[in-house]
Amino acid sequence: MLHLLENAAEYASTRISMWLASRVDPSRREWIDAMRAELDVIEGGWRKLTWVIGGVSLARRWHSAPSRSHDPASAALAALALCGRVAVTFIFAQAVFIGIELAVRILYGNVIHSSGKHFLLMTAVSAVVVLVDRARSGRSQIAASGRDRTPTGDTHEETS
Amino acid sequence: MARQTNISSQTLCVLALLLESRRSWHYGYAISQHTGLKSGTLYPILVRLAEQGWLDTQWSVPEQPGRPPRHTYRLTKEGALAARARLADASAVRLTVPPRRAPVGG
Repeated sequence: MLHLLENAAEYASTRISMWLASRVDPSRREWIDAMRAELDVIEGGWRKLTWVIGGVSLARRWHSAPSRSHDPASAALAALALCGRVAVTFIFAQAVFIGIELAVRILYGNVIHSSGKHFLLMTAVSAVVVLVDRARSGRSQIAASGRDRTPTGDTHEETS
Repeated sequence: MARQTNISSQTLCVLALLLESRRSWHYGYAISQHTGLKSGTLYPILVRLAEQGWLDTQWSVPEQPGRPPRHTYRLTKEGALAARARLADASAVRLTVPPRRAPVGG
């Protein structure tokens, strides 16, 4: 069983490394190839997978021009991230609503009915909030990239 | 007036390792194992050092046929000088930081 998992991890690492190579900007391709070449000497599927997963953050930094329509993996990731943000906003909104309801109950008695009835409304409000926030951040990112374009996106070292 | 860049502790680790055997070529995975850095942290550091002209890079000929060539790294002269200076600065800073007081009444 463990052997099978090791093989699966090794296979996944190979596939991910190929995906990384296809995703990065050609000017950074050499570095991704360097990272991929090390896979050949790393022993064990899990270690290989860990090594390659580190490269995913590099692919994010060094990705080539966005091609959402041609890249199903990144489109799926973006959709997943959006769902996650909606869920987090929903939980936050629900918590606020419950807090308000409790406060009102304590102060004035049972005025507001169960928050479960507002589930759909809350989800819709959360989705709208996230989409508006996303649109705003997208607009500000476009404005920022127009002002200051850095090829690597490396902001690790700052000048003092 | 020249502006000095702040160097992260991870970069200092890499520089220290490369400086230990400055003339020999180092592999990425070996550097990762010695410094404990993940690939996602290590490679941006190597890229930055190479772009600053502190690092020589080269594709090595594989020892066994059928194996892919590997990227290797070593410090340039300029890189070695800069690394020595930065490591000395870092150790000086560590020495000047006052030691914490032991808790009283423990």
